[in-house]
Amino acid sequence: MATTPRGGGTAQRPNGASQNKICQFKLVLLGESAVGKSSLVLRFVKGQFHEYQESTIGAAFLTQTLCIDDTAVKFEIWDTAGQERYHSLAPMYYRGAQAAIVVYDIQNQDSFQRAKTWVKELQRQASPNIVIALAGNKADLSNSRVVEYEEAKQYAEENGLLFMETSAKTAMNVNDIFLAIAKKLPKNDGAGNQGSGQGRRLAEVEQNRQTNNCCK
Amino acid sequence: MNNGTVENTPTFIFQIVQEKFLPGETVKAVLHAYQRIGVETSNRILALVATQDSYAVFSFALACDKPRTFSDLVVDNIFPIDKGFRMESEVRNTISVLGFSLSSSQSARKSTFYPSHPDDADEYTSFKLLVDDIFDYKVRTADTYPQAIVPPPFDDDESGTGGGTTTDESGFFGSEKEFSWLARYRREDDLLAIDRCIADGSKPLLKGESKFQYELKKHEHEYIINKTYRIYCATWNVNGQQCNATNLRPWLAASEDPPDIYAIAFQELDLSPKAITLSESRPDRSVIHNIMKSLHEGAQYEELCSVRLVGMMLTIVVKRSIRPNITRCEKQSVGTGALNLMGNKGGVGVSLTLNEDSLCFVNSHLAAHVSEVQRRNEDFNEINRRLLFSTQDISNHDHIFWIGDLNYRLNMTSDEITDYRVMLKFDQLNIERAAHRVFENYYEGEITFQPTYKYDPGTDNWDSSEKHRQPAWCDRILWRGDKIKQIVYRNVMKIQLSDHKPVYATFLADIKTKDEQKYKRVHEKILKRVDKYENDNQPQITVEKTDLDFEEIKFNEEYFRDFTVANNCHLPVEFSFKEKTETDMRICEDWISIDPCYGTLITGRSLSIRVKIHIKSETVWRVIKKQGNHIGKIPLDILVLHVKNGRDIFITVMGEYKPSCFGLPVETLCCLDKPIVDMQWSELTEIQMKSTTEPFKITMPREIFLLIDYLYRVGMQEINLFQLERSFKVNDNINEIRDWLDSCGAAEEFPGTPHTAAEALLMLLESSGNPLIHPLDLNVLNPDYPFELCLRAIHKLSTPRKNVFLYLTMFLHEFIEQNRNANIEVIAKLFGMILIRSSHDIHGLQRKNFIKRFLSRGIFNFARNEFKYS
Repeated sequence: MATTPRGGGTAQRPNGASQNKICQFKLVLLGESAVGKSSLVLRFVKGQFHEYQESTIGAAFLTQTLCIDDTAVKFEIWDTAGQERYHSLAPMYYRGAQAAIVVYDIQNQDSFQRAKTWVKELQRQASPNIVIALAGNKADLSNSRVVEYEEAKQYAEENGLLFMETSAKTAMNVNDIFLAIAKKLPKNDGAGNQGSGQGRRLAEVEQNRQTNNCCK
Repeated sequence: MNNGTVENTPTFIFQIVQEKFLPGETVKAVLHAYQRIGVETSNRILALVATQDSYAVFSFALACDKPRTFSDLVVDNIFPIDKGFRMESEVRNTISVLGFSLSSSQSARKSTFYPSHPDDADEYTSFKLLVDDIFDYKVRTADTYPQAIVPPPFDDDESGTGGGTTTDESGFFGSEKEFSWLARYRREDDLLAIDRCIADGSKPLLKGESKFQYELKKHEHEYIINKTYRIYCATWNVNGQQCNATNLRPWLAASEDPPDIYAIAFQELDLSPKAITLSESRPDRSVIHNIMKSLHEGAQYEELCSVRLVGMMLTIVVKRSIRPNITRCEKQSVGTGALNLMGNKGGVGVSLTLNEDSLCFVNSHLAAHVSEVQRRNEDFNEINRRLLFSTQDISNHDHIFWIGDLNYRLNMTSDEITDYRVMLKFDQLNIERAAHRVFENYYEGEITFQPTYKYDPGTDNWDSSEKHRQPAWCDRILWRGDKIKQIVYRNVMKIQLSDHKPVYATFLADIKTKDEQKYKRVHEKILKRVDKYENDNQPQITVEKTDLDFEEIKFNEEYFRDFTVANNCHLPVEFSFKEKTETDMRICEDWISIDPCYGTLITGRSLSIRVKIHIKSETVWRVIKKQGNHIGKIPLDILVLHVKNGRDIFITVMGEYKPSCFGLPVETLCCLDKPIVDMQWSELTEIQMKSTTEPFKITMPREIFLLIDYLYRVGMQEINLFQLERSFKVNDNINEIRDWLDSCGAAEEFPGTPHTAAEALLMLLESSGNPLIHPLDLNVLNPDYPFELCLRAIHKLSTPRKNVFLYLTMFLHEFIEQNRNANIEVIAKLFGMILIRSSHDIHGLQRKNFIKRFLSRGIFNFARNEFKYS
């Protein structure tokens, strides 16, 4: 005959202290081969940079948490293979993603064009509320720049994308771009609101994992 | 007292435990035990280790069930035997396992252990000897540190049962310096500790949330602070009197400062048989109303909850300002009266969580009469056993207050009341507690007030009735928990309503409380650590190669490539090939097979995976589509090798499908002007595109003509030439025929037999993506449909199709005519299935009948006319 305290309801923490909410989001990195997707992730997650980063043949998975105010945003990061041959597999990874970073190399016009097609594909096929960030990577090598900052910036604005030029090598804007995404993601509890852009509370994620139920 | 274990040849376990330590740090005793962690149990080795200056108990987690080297032992916890050290027996009444708990001033929470009995038990010290060793040390040091309190769990001497707390900062047992050697064993980060049980898959890795909770708990000491709360406990046996008009202020508002929590206990609120038989459980609102009027005026109060069983009622009242800090509150009652059921005796309890600590208040009314000591002890045990809250029993709380009419009397014959201090020596509760028969590990403050029972109501005079009851301290307040300090313990003589005097006690209790600022920092730090843990403890698989090169692939031939996957990480790996889309549940093209397509690899193991390609007539057109106009090898498929909780690896199946007549549309075959074997896919796709517009070079495919021609010449009398079983489908000869057909066969003798030729013909007809006949008007399949119109439908087919159909049906008609064994039903059914494949569900019988109509009658005239047109 266990009962809740008289007056019922769930007890609240004193002084309005935080419950330290944890929201988990799936984030996918897309972009042409060798633009530095894995390097960005490695810099963000482990604070490292490898001059000769191996080509990703598959999809790597790492997690990293950022704290914003009273909310911990836990990113479940899928770093995908950029080679064209694997293009058809990309939907496996951007499906259900609440955020995406589309990466290009500022020294490579083709990679910028490719980034644009990725953005188009995401806007057409991914979750409607997906937060997309455009990252012009290798910004430390601006001597050999071919994609102008203004051009990319304008493109990003027209398409409602977050935009930053980044450098995995110098760490420039790496945390910032993830932070910007984290800030833009909706973090309300999502009870009764199972929108695909919604972060999930960690407990739910655990359950989903157990039932092998991929995030929708 | 020395048990001598160490002096004798040390056992293997002693040796490996000793190896964990430096010279001068001597392992005195080693005990095998286990801990409960949630629903799991986890084995531990407890070691008592001594240096010259100090002792400590180490708890080791084991990397495997039977440690083989010292590296299998991981320090899980350290209990310095300092002033705050406690070793208490934990009697879990529900399970007859003897447990004990250890705590010390440096470990945030007490840890409970249960001695286990491994099959190599003689390697270990017995529990008794470990306890003796600890007490041996305690007794030796007790002179130096008289404040040391270690209640002995199994000794029956009187040491260590006195009251007192450890909050007193002075005279700490051993200085920090004496325990400085322990620092070496405190591990800052054991996240990467490799547990062999995890590596061999017998224990799961902690995931996300559970790891987070585990870490948060482990770092509790970094953000938990003690906050002192004033607790006011009060008990009164009202002897069935109405007390809702009595002024309770002398009893409930007697403290100087306003209490934070009141626990107010009544007994004998209602002595009526009705209340007993009905097990009255509704709190007496009029009494509660009176309580609320009589509280300390220095604060605002609200009733948290009340629980009642017959005459017993426990009301918890809290200061309004601390109400939000109470995050859980449960109540429970247990009757121990007649049959252990009736509620005239027993206990009621409230369990609550205040900040980070759990508190339990019990109000009990135990069995009466001088002689019933045993029964009272039993009632106490019964309440302990049966008063269960949702997740814990009474003993699992951080702070326990046990109040009530415990009914213990005085073992005195003389009713002369002399000195209370003398009388207290005869107090049954004191005697029973000293003998460890009841209230084990509880404390009671010193009694400095006169007995609370039995008075003539309305007076302060001892019982003058006939019974002439002996005075006794029936009404008591005890507590359990190290962070509780009693301030006062009194009775209230002024309240004369009952034959009992009310009693109250006030306490200061240190309650673990989150420091929100510190908590936020630790929370963040732990999130990062969990990220690191997850990222570092990701199962990894190594694959020998990510490209599987099949080179040239021919129709109907089997190929395979093997590759090795290995687990070189410290965790077991579960792998599987993953389906690529939600709708298509295939893990690869259906002409590829993978064996095995899932599995588990423990650390250090590897496995060979075989990928097979076999392109059959049903699937060849899909391969051709994939090959497109590419010359040479292309990625035919990409397999996704998925590691559970880890990354995916893409494995590309490379190869070049060699052109063959199998799988090509008859129109294309009619446009060829050289052997297929000499052609490239780029040419073939070009021809295929043109075949819809340009005139055909030949009227029907050479390959079909050659096969039928051969059968016409050699096979007309063959028995069972066309069978539904297709028993020649898997036959090397088919591939020889394939090569013969693809090189146009002109020069060489036909390599096959009538039976393999017949099978090759069937395969050729069924391998084209489109069926030979795909009627737009399904009526033609209707057996009543005029045959003339069926012929018109054939007439509308493309020339090569029409010609193939006519030539084939004429041949089959002839075959049936000539061959006495030929079964028209079988042949019509077989060709019906192959020639008419429609996306519509056409019943097999209809297809058979359609073909049968052509086979059963001569269509030479029609055919002659048609051939003329083309």
